[in-house]
Amino acid sequence: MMMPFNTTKQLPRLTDQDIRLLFGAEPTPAELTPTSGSYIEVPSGQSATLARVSVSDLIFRHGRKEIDIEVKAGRTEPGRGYSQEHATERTSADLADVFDFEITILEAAAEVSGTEDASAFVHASSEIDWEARPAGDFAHAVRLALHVGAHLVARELAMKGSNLYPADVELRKMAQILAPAEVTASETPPDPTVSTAVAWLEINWNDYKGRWVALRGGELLAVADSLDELIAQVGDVRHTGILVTSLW
Amino acid sequence: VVAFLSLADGEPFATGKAAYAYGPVSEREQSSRISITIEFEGLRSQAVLDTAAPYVVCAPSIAEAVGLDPANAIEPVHLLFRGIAWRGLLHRVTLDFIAEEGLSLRVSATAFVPDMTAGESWRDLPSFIGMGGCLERMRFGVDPGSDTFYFGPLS
Repeated sequence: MMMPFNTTKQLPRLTDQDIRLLFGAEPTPAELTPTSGSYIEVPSGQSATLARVSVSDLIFRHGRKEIDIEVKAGRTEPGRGYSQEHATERTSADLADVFDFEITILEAAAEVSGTEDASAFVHASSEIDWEARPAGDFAHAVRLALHVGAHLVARELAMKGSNLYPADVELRKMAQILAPAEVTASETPPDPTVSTAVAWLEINWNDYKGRWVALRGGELLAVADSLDELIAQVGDVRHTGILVTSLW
Repeated sequence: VVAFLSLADGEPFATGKAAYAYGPVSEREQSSRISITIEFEGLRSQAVLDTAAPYVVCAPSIAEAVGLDPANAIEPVHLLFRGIAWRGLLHRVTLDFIAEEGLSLRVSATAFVPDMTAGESWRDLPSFIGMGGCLERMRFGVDPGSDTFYFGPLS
C-alpha cells in the first residue's frame, strides 16, 4: 500500500568543501542554471549547486509505517534545466558524509506524522544516534515530538539530552517539566470532610450546574459564575481546605 | 503505615482513601466519570480521572488562580485531547491527593494548560488527572460499591 507524499526541505548551505566532496571539483558559473519546481538552489560563494530532498512515499511495510527518503544533489550542465538526466546526482548513501540527514529526516517525519499518528516520527527518532547529537538538536527534537504527540519520545529525549548536556538551560528545563511523576508523602493531613463536600456536590449538582461553588466540608460558602468571581468573594483559598470547583 | 489494601506479601497497596463523585464530564456526554478531590499548588478542587490522557490537564482558570508562570513552561505544545487539537503549555505542578483517611500523597507532575488565547474555549470542562505524567507512578483502585478512591505510592 502506497500513500503519495512529497515535500521539499531546505538543505544546509553548501561549502566549497561540500561541493568538492560531491563532484570532485567546483562547477563553473557557466554550468549553473536557475532552479524551479521542487528543486532548491543552494548558493556557495561564487559557485552554486542544486540539491533536493524528497520524501517520496509513505510505505506500509511489515505492518509498520515507514517513510522512504530520497535525497539527491546535483549540478546542471551548461544551458540546461535540472533533471536527473542532465545532472550529476548522488543519492542518500553517497551524501551521508556531506549532509546531516538525520534531523532533516526527523523533520520530514514530523511533517508526515501530523498530530494523530506519531509512528513515522517515533521510527525516525529511533534511527538516530542521539549520543552523537548536539544539545540544540535535542531541544529541537523535543519540540517536534510534542508537536506530533510523541509524548514518551519527548520525555526520553529531554532526559537524555539533559544528562548529556547538564549545563544546557533549555534542556534542563524540558527535562524538569517532562520527567516522570515523583510521588512522596504529603504534609496535608487527612481530611474527613472530603466525603461531606462530595456528598454536597452530588446532591446539589443540578441546582448549581454551570456555576462555581466554594465549600468548607458540606457548607456552601459562595456561588459565582467564574472562579475569578468566586475568589473575589472568599479570598485566596490556597492551603485552607476550602474546595472551589465548577459544576460542569 | 496505614494500609487499606495490601498485596499478598503484606506490602501496602493503598495508604489513603477518599470519596469520589461520579457523573458525566459535561452536558454533552452520557457516560459517567470519577472525579476526585485534588489540590493544585494548594488550591483544592475536583478533577476527573482520565487514564487516556498523556498528562494532567489543568483547567485554564485553575492555572491562572494558582499563578502558573508561562516563563517556566514549555510552549507551544499541541495535544489531541477529547477530540480537539489543543494548543497550550506544559508546566511542572505539585498536586496533593487528599486522603479522607490515611496518608495524602504529593505528586510532582507534568500538566498541560490549554492556551485560551489560541481561539478555543475550555467551556465547562474540568481539570483531568492523566495516566501519563501522574497516575503511572502511583497505585490506585476504585470501589464502585462505596464510591471510594484508594491510592498509595509505588514502593
